[in-house]
Amino acid sequence: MAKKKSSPKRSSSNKMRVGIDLGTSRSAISASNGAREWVASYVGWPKDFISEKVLGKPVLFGKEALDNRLSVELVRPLEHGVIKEGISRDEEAVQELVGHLLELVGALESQEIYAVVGVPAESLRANKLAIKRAVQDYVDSLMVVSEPFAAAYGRGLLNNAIVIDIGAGTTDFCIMHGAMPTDEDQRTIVTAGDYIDQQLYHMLKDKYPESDFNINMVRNFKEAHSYVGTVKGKIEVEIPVAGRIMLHDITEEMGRACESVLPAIIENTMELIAKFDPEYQEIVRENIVLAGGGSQIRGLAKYIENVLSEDGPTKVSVVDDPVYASADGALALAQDMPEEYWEDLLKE
Amino acid sequence: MFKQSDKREILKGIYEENLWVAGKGEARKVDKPSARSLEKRKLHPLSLISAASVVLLGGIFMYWLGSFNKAPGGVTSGVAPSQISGGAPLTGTAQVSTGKVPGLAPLDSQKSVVSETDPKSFPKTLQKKLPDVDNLEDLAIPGLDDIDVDPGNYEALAESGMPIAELFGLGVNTIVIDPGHGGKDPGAVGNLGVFEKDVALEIAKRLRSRLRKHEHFEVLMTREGDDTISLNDRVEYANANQADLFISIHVNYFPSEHSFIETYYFGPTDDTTVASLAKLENADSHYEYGEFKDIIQKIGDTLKFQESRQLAHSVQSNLYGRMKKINKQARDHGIKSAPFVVLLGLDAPSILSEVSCFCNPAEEQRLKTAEYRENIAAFLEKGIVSYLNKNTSVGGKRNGEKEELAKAQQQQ
Repeated sequence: MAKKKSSPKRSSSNKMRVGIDLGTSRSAISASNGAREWVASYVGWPKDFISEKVLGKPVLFGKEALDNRLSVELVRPLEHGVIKEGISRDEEAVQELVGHLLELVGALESQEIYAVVGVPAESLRANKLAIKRAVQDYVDSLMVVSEPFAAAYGRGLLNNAIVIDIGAGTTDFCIMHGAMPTDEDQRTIVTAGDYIDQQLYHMLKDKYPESDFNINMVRNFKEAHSYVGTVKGKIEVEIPVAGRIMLHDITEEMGRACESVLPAIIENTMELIAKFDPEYQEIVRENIVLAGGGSQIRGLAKYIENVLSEDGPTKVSVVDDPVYASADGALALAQDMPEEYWEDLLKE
Repeated sequence: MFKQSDKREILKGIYEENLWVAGKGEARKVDKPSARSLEKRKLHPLSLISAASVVLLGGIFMYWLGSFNKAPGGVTSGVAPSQISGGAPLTGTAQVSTGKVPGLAPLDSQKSVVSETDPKSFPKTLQKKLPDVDNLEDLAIPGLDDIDVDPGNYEALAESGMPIAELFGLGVNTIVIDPGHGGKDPGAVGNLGVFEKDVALEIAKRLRSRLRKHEHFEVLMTREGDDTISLNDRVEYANANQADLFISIHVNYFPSEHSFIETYYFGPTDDTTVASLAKLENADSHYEYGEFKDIIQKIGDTLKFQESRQLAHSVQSNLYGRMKKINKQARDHGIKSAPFVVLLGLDAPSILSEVSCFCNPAEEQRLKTAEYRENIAAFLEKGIVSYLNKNTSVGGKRNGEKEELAKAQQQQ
């Protein structure tokens, strides 16, 4: 167990149940002691002993790791929505990340930790064992589920609903029909937040070849100004040109980049609606929920709703708390899971 | 209202799934296409191409290995595309249980019978309507001597821009065309009632007829009719027939005044794989046997990645470049890499082309016509042929057949 910085809250029992959302961009944890924390999914190890001395830590996380990327070996372990199986550095990064999240919520070494971990559906399907290997050192009993399913469970959307989790590396679709979703009920596409970043980066490079910016800056622009449909006024951002900060109009490019993910999302949603019994498709149409960081794109829910409404009344909503939706759902699963199930999965 | 008993069933399902992963229980009896495709790859770790690479690379490696010295800290592994996992495809063959959309009548154009073997059965006027296909460039394929590659320096190799297939003269004998969806799975359905599965099938048949004219390769299709075929079966069919290229044909859906054209190829979302490979191979290292096998596997995957990207680029540029001449509303959405199941499980370079889009009634109306479908098939053919001429050898040979192929194309 990683060393604990502090123990803000202690569980009344000797067991702590946690829900963890291991995302490509952000990882979040919700614990049974009421604590909730999140961190950007970056792990950085100082490149050498000088870096370690300067940074004062053996490992850095989140924004701190990103800000010191020149001094650390920076790993984004779920970059493409999966842990790259067999590559120990990525598994190690996930291990560190989980240890860090448990520290943040004040898990004690003496406590038994029962964890439900939500991962991108792609990751779940591809390498469950890699995830287990990466996480099990920090927990006593572990279950892994897909992020969109965890988000659906947390909201009680267990029947006749579609959850679309738009993350950084992947957009995950999960249909809920009153049973445990199978692989057939879940889909993953890679047109997600990172894809928008790449599109926007290239569009801005074309428009402003002399301007000096990188993909991280573009990601920040997106997080501050993303939209689909129409937007009032101009979107202007500060970018240096030959050392001088200049205002750049990125309104049109922002819209085009964000809209580039829409065809795939619309098409997959329509196909998934068609998978339901025809009698229930009308209900499903009014039960489409967006989760993940991408759900925060302004106008996205309305835009998808308008397009799908051409075929019938449709309601697309956004989860209330996209940062913690999957972690809260995973915690709900952890708390609802019968004790005997946890015991069967205890480490030997 | 959701029943508590159903909730218990869900919790039990999660428990059983995790029990199985932990090696303590049996797998749930559900279809797991992704898992199966990965397993298949595990059983056949060296793909056809990788195997060819082993043979061809073996001698070179024996020479190169002598120049490797192990770097401190050992080898930093790259990310092989095959490890990026298999997800469901963008427009994959989900098993749709609902069947056809109520109220949609079959379209006359969908009943049209297309000759599978004789291109002359196409109305001659259609042939005349085709845009001029440019004369094929007979680009000389530079030999190994034409690039300055230091033996043992894979970084130079990766940065040379030379496809690995070109270096080792890997040929194309079999092309598998995959019409997306089919049977119970209609794919996208346009507002006028056109099914993606029907458009994809007819374009695929027309493309097959066109490619067969070249007589250099066997052209196969994953489905001949309106059949429900799983992604796995498509992949297994292609692999069993030792496909050298795999072309999956789909039609997008997105309401818009524009028609979007995009092509996906197997791979991660950027070039980190190639970079990692270069880094790996450039390490001064004495490789152990296991590491050597790993390197060969990675080269096989890199080859697939490189070739798939080249193929996607050629198909997309030809498809969009020609489409915009006949359809002003066509918009280029470019090539994108994606680890689709249908691309992941394949041994061969593979692409998934969204050849058009049910975007608006005008485009859907065009897609109903045989002329438009024939044009799309012709543009796809041009893209494939251009790729073959530029990037690889045909039928196991390199220059002679390439000239014949160009000649055949000119005779059209």
